[in-house]
Amino acid sequence: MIYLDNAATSFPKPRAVTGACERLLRLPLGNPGRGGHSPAARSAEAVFRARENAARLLGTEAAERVAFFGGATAALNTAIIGTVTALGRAGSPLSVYTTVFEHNAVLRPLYALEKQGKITLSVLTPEGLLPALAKAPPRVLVLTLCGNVTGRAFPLKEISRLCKKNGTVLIADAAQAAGHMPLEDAFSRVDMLCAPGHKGLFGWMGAGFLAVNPASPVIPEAVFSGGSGSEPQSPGMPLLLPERLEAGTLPVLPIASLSYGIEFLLDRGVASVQEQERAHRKALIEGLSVIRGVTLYEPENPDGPVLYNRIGVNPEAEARELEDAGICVRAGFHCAPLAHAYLGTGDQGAVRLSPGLFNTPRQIGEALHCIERIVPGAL
Amino acid sequence: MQILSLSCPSVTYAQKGRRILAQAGIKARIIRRSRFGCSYGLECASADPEEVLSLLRGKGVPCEVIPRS
Repeated sequence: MIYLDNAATSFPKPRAVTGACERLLRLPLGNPGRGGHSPAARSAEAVFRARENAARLLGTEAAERVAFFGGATAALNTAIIGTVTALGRAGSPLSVYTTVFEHNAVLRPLYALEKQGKITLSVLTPEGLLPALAKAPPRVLVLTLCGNVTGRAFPLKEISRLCKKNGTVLIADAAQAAGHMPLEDAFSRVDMLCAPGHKGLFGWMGAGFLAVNPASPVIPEAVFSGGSGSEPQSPGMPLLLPERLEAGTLPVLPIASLSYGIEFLLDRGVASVQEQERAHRKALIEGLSVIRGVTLYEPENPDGPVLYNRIGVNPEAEARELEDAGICVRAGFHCAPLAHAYLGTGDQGAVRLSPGLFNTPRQIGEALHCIERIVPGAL
Repeated sequence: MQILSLSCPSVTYAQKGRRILAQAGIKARIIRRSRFGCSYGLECASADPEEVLSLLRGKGVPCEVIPRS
């Protein structure tokens, strides 16, 4: 099998991660933050270490500003809805901007807020974003650091400058950036950053985090309410992060696994991971570009997945043929319908190849050979 | 040296506090202190409670000394 669907979830996980998780599972684990006995303390220590590691990845010491959730989607919902709730006033909808390259994890919470009359939403093209930010600054901007369809990124330095100047709260979706590129500089330029544990951070599916920059002018309100392990007599959630945002029992093993994954990444060097993944992307683009009938979308982006279509071939059919040949890819719309509409693939979607750290140049070559071979008419 | 008990607003801050104290060479353990109206706290041996408080608060850990009963 050649796995080229790392944008959906990374595979395989590093041995350092699987081994550490196996060892942790053999130990008595209690509910973190829910007791004083040693199993609860062990889980709490694993979770706190994960907060520290996530903070290290972002270049901050503020581990207590890293809140965990069941995934990046829940983290993004909290960042978006919690920020709008914190800033909003009844009868006065907030202006919120986002882009066509966002995932439904961003778009759908925004659509829901718009339907409730809490925000006015502008979904901008890459060409329209900077002029709109300069001309009519919104209260909130939600932006991907690396799009999940083609790796599209935006000029964060300039965007951040405009946001700071105009008091716009900047929320970053790092679902395809975390673990794939250094994030210290990006985190210093945004107010909040959300990331999943199971993609570039090599954890299991089931955990993601929201990191609130210590310089952020706003702390999101809780979106979920429930047990927090602290301030039990208060009718509301605790005021302090991270418990303010974390209701209910945390997914300890997925959180611990992303923590081990971050340790693996930091040992290896995120920049070196990025270099290796860029080489895979470049090789795929070079190989695809000489196959007859292939259209590549935004091949100039340095990071992220490779997106292509072939004249006269349905992308789902192509993905099935590749699956039959042992190559795992993802076709369709990738939960980003507006990105596909912008790219001109809004009718059938496209085929996405997302190589990862553990692919080899030989696998990339074999995948290209298969793509070339299985479709009649290819070179 | 005396045993100093501190309250922290959450297990997260208790852990952060323990890390900070460890870096300063002070060994502390996390304790459950719900009967004092907080959930977690720290216990450590210290000759100078003010120094410990200053260290923790200076690094953003809200904490209070729990009076000995």
